[in-house]
Amino acid sequence: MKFDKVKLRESVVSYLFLAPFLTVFVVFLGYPALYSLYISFRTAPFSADWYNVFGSMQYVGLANYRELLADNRFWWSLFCTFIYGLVTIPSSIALGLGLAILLNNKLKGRNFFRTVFYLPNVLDLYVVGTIWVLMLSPNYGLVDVLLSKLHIHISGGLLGNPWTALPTIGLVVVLKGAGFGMILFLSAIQNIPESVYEAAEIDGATAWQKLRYITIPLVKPVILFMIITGTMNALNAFTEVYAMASTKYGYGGPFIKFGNESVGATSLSGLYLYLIFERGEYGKAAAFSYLLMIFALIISFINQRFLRTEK
Amino acid sequence: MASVQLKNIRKVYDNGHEAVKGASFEVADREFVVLVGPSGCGKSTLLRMIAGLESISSGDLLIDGIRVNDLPAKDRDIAMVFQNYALYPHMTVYENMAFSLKLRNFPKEEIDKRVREAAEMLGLLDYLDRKPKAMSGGQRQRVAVGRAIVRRPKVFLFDEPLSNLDAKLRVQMRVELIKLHHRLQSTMIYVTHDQVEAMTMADKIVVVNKGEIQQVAAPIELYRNPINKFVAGFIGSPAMNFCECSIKLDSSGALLDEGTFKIKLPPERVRSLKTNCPEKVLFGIRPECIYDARATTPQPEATIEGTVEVVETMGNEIFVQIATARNELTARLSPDFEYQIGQRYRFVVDVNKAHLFDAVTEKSLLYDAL
Repeated sequence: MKFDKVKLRESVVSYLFLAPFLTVFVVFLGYPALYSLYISFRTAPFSADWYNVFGSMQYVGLANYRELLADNRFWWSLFCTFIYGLVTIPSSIALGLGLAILLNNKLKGRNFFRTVFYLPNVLDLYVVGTIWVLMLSPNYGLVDVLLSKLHIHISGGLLGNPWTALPTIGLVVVLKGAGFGMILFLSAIQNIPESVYEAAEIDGATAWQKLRYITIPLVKPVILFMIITGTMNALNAFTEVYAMASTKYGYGGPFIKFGNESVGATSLSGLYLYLIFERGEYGKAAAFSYLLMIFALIISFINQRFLRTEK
Repeated sequence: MASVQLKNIRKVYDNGHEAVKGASFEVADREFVVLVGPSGCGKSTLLRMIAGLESISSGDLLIDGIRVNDLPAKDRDIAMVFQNYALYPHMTVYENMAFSLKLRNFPKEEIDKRVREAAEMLGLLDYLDRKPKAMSGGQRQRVAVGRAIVRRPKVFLFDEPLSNLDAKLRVQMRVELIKLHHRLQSTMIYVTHDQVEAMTMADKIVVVNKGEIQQVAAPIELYRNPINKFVAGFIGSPAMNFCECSIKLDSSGALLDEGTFKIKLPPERVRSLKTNCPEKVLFGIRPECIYDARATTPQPEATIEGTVEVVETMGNEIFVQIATARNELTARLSPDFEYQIGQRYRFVVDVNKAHLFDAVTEKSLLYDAL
């Protein structure tokens, strides 16, 4: 009996410790998530009372989902997101791994460099974006001036040209996040015993072969993690385009033609979702976020399957 | 197959620490040489310098007569087995063993042939698809050995390969490695801190202490004729007993006086002592050279009387710790007699197997005589 009492007290104490998180989770995440599923099947009519918009929404079934799936801009935003992920994920991995390998060496001042490379991570993305907007702005921005010294002229500037705008934003995000990837890769690399590299050296491996056959396979869990979080970041990407594209060029500009419509070259799904929300189409926005969640789950599942590290 | 020569090899680290102080010795073709010494004595550093994993501060390293000081590890044609096995954790046993051949662009059939040959030799055929994680310590060690074998290198290096294994497995692997050496007939250099491993495996032992080579000799020679107190104490288990004594030389031999007992060494044993004999010496006697007085004829000038303090029963023999007023000695005795703790007994030492060392320099006073 005494034993059971101890056990009971232990579980009560455990739940007490969990309570603060669980409360926040249920109130601010669990309930809104379920509520947005509920309103994704509803819409606010033009006649709605905008002071009590959620109360006056009407059930429309799958209409929101149907409308979205028939919307070219929706598909375009997904395409942009796909391209964005294609640009940012591999380069984040390559840059993070490269920096980690460099700074894993017994380099002088490596702690300084580790700090410096990590530092941009503590800044807000909006702040970083704004600074880059200044640096990238045509004619007077630092980058544009340097490019013109190299006789490279991009019409409208890097952010104003539809071909370069999205990759440029991607590059900024990659540079900002490089330190985070570096830390992850560093810790993974430092977990590889030195003797494994020594064995490889004696087995005749060159530096490149050690990277290819030893380091990369052994940091695969970090690569998988970076792909999954990178996918999530791409699907959620908003701040960077809001900071760097929308202010100057409208919503997700510069604009190009896609089918019959004019679409923004940087109109990522996160930004498009925001625009729908801003228009007051809450039901459609909720449906959008559920579609994004389904895509995210599918992609994560595929990632897991193909990149799973064996147990 | 190849010979290895070390000529006055030194290793000085950036912080000024001298890990290896001028090591010179030779490993003949097909010889099994063991570097032995306490931990931190520099023996592993020495091996790593031979492997090319540590730079050589000064001196010459020759493999097959060619100076290889500046040759990278991968070009020295050596294979190494590490203490922690250093297997590639993400590769199967097969891939681990095939890796070096793959890097050298061997044809697939040749790789397969060699890997299977080595796996068969080591009893690993059933495990080729396993990852190291799914294997026991002994099996992993075999994979590490297999990885070395497939290369058919000039020289095999072993860095304390058995110290992570449990005692029983260690004995088993030791025998397997000896067999392997006979089978492969290749040059092997083996580092260990375990003198039993050194004695049982080596053709030749290099005893290292504090970065300096103490003695290079065949195992039995080291046991019988140690050059100094360190070697005498390091080789043999239980270790040799040492007692500080005063010494008097005359035509009938040498009389050692410990204070509580006197030992007379015969003239044949102390021939080399006539000149430069110090006043104080260390009398060294191995535990197996001490007998119970009841089992031998009385020899008053070779008798030690002392209190038995500890008796360790091994089954086939017993280790008895004997305390005189000044020293403690260990005797390795047959279990024929029983000993009461705290009682005094008389023991006889084999004076023909006694050792003498200078009490100050700790050098053997009998080394040249033998």
